[in-house]
Amino acid sequence: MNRLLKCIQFQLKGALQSTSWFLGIYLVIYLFLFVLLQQLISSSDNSSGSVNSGFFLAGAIFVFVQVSASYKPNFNYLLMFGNTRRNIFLSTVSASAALSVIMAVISVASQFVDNAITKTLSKNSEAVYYDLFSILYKSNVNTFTESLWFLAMFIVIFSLAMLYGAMAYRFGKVFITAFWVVLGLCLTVLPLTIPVLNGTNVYVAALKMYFCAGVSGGIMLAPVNFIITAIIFCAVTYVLSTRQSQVV
Amino acid sequence: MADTVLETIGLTKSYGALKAVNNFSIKLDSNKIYGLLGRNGAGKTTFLDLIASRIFADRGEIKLFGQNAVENQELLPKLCYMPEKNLFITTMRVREIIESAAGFYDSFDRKYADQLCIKFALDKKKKYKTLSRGYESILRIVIGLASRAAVTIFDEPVLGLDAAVRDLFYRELLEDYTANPRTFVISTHLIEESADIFEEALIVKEGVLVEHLAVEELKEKARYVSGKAAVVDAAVAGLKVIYSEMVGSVKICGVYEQFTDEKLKKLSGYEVDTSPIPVQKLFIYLTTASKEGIL
Repeated sequence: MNRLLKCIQFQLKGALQSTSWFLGIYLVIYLFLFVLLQQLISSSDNSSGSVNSGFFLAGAIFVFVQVSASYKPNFNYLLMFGNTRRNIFLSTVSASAALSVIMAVISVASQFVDNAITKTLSKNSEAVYYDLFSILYKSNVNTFTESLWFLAMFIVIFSLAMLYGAMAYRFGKVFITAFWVVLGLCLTVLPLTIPVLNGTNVYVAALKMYFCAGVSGGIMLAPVNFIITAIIFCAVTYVLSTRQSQVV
Repeated sequence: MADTVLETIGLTKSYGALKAVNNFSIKLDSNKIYGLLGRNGAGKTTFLDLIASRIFADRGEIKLFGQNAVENQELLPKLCYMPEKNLFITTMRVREIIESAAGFYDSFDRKYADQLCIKFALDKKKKYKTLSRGYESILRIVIGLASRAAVTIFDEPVLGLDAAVRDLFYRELLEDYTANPRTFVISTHLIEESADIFEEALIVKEGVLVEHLAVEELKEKARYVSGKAAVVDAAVAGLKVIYSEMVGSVKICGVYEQFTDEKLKKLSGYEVDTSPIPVQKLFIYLTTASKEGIL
């Protein structure tokens, strides 16, 4: 068998093992919350609202952690068995892309399940299921475009995670500390700048633009942005990893 | 004439001001066992990391079977390097590690790997993280030997192993080498007990290859000369002295020299005793000699 395929097989096996653990734990929590929700609803007179399991968010965090955390051990392991950095990079991309497809499919499926649960549990016959897309986009929202959006989103997340892994491998604790400190500062300090910016949050505006939120056909345009970002992240990762000496 | 399987030309790697490997040029032949000897920090592991493409050289060439070996996917599977450092995924089981190694080396012998696991009492069901230091070394030995790669490199393979297991490793290595000849490069600190398995020794000091010759030749070149101080001094005049010590009135000198008939005749003309220097001692003398010394 081709060596690249062997690397992909190895990386995919590891990714699928972690994914099955994640899905198992997620399902247990989901069932627990479902039972809890049922109890709450049965004790109230008239309840309405939307059930959203938040699988996408949980999945996105999982993909980031899985891809970034497995970067170093997989790189070292595959390098030890005589694989080139190029093959290791390509196998990481392939395995992560496969993981993205799986997570995108489950995200779409979880929306159907959430929708069905919302309708089943609600005592109000006019209960409406709200999801991410109904908030962000106004038109062209259907299963196909949602799948496309999820897929592109997971691809950009894995490519970011891969870049993070490659940077952490190369620069070590310096990068890891800087990354999380900067991210933490952004999350805490930036919202405080709204009053300074006369009530206009430029960051939210930029984010909306990136996500093409509120734009006609935005759900189709956003994946283009995501894929371009992913290509840039992957290119930087490739440059970093192909000249990377082994670090233990 | 033996074929050259591995060749390095002017290989250099620096870490800041430190030249870990300095202008290293060697040729390793097929079907030989080489011992890579040097003190801590001499540059052995850096050299091995370079030839296995784990790190990149600042300068120089690495050729495997006559072709550039750096990041060469065709050639890298012909070289199996089991480093001292832990590069295994600690959550994997021994069985899974061996299986995946078998997938990466075309010449890997699964049956032999199973036999080795039994011989070394390595439990394949165990996770890597639960293995003791000794069993971690055993796993490396199993993979390295069973890979049957044309060039097999072990960096400190017997670390953490007791004497009986070390002996088993040396015997197993020689048995398998006899049945399936290939090139081995073994870096070790335990020179005395492993010297017998090496055919050639590569001695590294401060990043420089100071000696590369057959172990037998190395042994023949090294002799203690002892006797009265004045007599010993006269006997070793003009010879390469790598060690000297006074024990009471007796002076002992370690001489490292190509003993020609003429030199032997000269020595026999003095009232001195000569005896071979044990390899471990010789290694210590060679690698601790000052820069002004013979090496």
